[in-house]
Amino acid sequence: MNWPYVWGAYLLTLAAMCGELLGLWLRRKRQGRE
Amino acid sequence: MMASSLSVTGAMFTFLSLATGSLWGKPTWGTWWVWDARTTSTLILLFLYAGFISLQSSIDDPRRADRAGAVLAIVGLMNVPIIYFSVQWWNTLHQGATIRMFRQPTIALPMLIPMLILLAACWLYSIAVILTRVRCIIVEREELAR
Repeated sequence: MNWPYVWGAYLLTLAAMCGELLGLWLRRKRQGRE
Repeated sequence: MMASSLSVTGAMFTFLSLATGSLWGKPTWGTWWVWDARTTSTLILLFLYAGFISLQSSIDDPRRADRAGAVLAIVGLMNVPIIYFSVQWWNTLHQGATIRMFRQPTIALPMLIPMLILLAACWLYSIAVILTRVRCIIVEREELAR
């Protein structure tokens, strides 16, 4: 198994999703809804 | 509003499929990137998303931004069947479709089941994020209208 590639793909996906959720949370916070 | 909400998540997943696909391609094909039909048409989709997002954010009037975005979205829609059929139309390095509507899937069962679970998870994530973002856009437009 090529674990470094698997981990790379996993971490990249996780980072992208967390980044999007963080951006959305900040946007809602700016609107005073969090 | 729905389109501008969708475009960010769509662009993110298109980027992820290209990036993780190249991470898969290196050990499998021996290369990070090839200019074959599927990868190139998916890259064009990413550029279309980027164009859509920057076009919408460059116009201040939301109605005019929506109209301009809609024209670009209709043009961009033509790319979707090209991506889907690209592995059938052209003989490429990228493998053909592994899951078909009416035929036995050619993917192994231990890989098929996690893939279907992840597919459902990605759909649920996308629906949740897109609906939350559309609520943000509605609130922002209501404030703008006041």
